[in-house]
Amino acid sequence: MTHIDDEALALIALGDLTPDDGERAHLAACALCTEELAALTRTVGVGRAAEGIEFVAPPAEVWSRIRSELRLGDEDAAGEPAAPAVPAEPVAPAVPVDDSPGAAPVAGPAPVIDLDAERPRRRRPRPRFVILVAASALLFGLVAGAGIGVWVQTSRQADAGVVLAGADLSPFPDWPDARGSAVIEENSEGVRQLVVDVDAATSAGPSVDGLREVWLIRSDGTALVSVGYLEGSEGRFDVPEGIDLTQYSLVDISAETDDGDPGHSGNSIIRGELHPI
Amino acid sequence: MLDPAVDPRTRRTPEPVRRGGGPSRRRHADVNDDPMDETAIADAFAAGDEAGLAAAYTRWSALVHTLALRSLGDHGEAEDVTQKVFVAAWRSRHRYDSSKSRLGAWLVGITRHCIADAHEARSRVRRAEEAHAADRPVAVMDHSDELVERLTMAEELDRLEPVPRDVMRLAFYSDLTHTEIADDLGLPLGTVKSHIRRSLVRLRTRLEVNDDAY
Repeated sequence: MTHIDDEALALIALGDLTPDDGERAHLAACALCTEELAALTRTVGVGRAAEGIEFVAPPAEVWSRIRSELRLGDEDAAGEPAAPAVPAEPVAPAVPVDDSPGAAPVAGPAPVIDLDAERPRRRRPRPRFVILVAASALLFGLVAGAGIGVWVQTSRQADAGVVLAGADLSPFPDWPDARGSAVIEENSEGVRQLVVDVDAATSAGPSVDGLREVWLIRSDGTALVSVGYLEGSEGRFDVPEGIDLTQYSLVDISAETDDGDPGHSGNSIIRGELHPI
Repeated sequence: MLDPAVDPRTRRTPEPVRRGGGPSRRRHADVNDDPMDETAIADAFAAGDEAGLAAAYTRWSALVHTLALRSLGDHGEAEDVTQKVFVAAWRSRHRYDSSKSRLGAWLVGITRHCIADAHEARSRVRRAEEAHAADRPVAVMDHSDELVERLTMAEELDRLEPVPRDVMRLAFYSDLTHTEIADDLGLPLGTVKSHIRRSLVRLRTRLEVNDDAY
């Protein structure tokens, strides 16, 4: 079963899109998409109800009272440096930070945790998979544990990158409705990734096996390299090391048949040239 | 899996990538803090490291205190609740299981118990002072699961990276469509849609895991 595109579901939940007949029919038949849409819609409702909330930090003496009640050791005697353990800003940006001596740990002599020391290795689940796991857990009445939250966050983090170049992808004559864009991102580990984003119309259609392959092609047409197969409307592919993107500047998505031939079918759907951003 | 459906609503003009005129590089992170920070705090807390308690207080005391303040409507009582929450959390830290819940969600669970206790204590005092107090409406302020959810949501929204945060605020609180948001912020349409989806999934996950039992 072909599920509704994740981004379309999110926009439907926001009221930004109205499901079309096909999507309505799918929602009526698919518990997964229905659960997902219900959860996203509820999230939107809570999000809209959260407008204008300001956080109020407790006064500094509350921390002193906690330390006193728990008979914790004297902070100064412990020889801890006078740096905040974590920035207070993300919690309560509207609240001025109290930098009086008793304000620990918000800005006073709070102990510092070496946050790098025990940091687990990042996992990189595919976001789509994570969503399905979460929805399945709901569907079967399982408890969706906090681990999923960490997974989702971790995958988000892994997606962080700096955009180096972008391309508009224009359709070939056989695919007049196809549209798409591509960007080159470089993540924190220096790996370049090609991120393509295509409209639903950019499918390989029923006449072929429905495979779509993503290529980087030299601007002079003398060489090309495949970076992977595209599923759905968005894909992220590592750019092989050693590929000079000023040379391999064309992004191409082709319709392929499952015929064992690793070469380009010659049947391009859309293509565009990368330009630095 | 392919999606053969043709969807004219999301068709766009072939100019999705802005060229020139803006900053030469854009950052694309979705959260403005390393999520592992929370894991490190939780690990230190669970291990009985006092630095973990201090870091947890730094990270979540405003959320705890605001919940109590909004529910009880009294600064003194809210401060008492905040104190009780962190004292109780530290003393029962052996019951915290980081594989089952985020530390923040666990603290919120304790906060709810402490707030309920505070309301109950008020009722007892009132009953002691007035024999017929039980017949009187008790002035309970905004005290509900819904409040917890809204505050959790507000906090998570604040913690998004600037770009997705701007996108989500416009998506939630303006009448702009995602196309108009893209125009407004000068972002590619695909980027806006991607931020919306990712941020919604993240926010939704945080709501789901906030119901952990304490």
